[in-house]
Amino acid sequence: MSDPTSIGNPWVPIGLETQFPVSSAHPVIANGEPLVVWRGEATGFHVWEDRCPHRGMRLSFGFVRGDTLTCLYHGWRYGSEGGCQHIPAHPDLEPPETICTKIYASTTSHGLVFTAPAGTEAMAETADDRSWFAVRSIFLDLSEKAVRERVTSAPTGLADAAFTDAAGLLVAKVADGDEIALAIQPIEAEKTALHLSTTIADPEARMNLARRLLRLRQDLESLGGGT
Amino acid sequence: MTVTTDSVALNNWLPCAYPGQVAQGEAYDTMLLGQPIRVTAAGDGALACHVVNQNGSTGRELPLIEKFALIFTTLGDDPRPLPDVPEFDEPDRRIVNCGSVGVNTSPYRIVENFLDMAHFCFVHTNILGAVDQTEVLTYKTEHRTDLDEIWATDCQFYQPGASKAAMDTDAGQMTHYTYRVMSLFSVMLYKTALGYDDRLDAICLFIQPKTETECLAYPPMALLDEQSSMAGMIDFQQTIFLQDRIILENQRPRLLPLTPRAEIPTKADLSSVAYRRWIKQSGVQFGLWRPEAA
Repeated sequence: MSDPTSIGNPWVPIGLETQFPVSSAHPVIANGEPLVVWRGEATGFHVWEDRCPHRGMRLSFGFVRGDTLTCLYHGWRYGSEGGCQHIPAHPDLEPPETICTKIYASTTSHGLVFTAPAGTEAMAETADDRSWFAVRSIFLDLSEKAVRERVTSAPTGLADAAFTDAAGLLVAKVADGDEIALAIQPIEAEKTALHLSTTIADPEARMNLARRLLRLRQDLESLGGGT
Repeated sequence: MTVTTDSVALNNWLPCAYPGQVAQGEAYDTMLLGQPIRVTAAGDGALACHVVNQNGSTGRELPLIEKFALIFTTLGDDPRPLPDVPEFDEPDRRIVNCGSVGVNTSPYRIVENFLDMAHFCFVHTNILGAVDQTEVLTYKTEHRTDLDEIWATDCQFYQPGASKAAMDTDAGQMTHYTYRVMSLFSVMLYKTALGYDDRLDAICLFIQPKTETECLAYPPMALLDEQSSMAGMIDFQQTIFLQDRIILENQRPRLLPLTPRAEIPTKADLSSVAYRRWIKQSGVQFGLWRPEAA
């Protein structure tokens, strides 16, 4: 069950939607777990353990065709539910159902991609049909806790209004009814990513937000330990 | 890491350099099973190998054997003898010294990849395999108790360019293979040589495990090829090996897991299964995955 006092738990943000183009596979790390994020043509985002069950090859090196992910090492092909469909060394064999990748739940919200253990209750829906746009991500050599404390306790320079916790991420109002969303991704003990998205449609204004995020990075890195 | 206490791992002859690598009057520092060692070449070219102590001074002298165009040493008191590969003594063979390639993974993953035919089409596309002919046909494995080696026989695979010589002809061939796992850290294969019906190319792979997940792999070859240049044959082998390295350094965990169901083999992995069983029976612990190392 989710812990309502812990923002983003159990759904962990793993990046901006635009960072993962259709028909491609990417490595990400969340809470120390190496994951592959891949995006099928019809089935959208998939998040699995970054490891082929056959010989341990990282699946993020694999290739996406349609709605399947194929391992680079021996060409084992996996369907969107994680089951192995084809083993090229034995083309006539129907792979047993026991050959299956370890899959995680995934969802999108506010222009961001989130993951959680398989079977996790769906993320709370927001009554929001606006388009969200990617601003950018920054990566910090700091713990998630240090980053969260800093961005929730002092001005970030991103918005005049304070951030509030909404559906597992931090949201703040800006001018003209627009909003910005800041998602904190714990990567490893001292590595954290911040992903920023917004409803602001004007590219110039988004560029300005991106510059402010870089200034926030300088601020955060001066907390110590940052490079 | 510090030197392993694993006597099964220690009692092997392992490569530590190749002839010509250490210039006369020079020293070369490397590592074996976590133990820093120093290979020196005297002014007259005579080689020696010593343990290097923590303060940088040299400690006990280690024995050396020069064979297969490599220099071997051992930290063990009772090492398993180096294998016989008589092809290296046949006068008409080209002995190809390919140097060494650094590969950051467990030594057993490197041996296993060498035994594997199913990756040819995907990792060595249009050289050792073609994407439209991926099937691994049934082959046999056996534990040769006379040699205490694992053999895989009756192996065959369609190859667009099985060797430097075969690449130069533009014609694919059904290549026949025999594999020998000669120790935990060495493996070789015999394969069809272009233009010879009754003799086979011999390609070895000797591994120097520096640590549990850092190795140098040396692939000396004894080839039947009067045409190709030495540089061409070395280049072919290094191309293949660098393609393998991309895979080998991205398998997880790097340490080989022998726990049941940690990795799922299929029929094409018969030789890998036999090798893993043999590893388990050997009692070796070095380089194997263990839960606390995760």
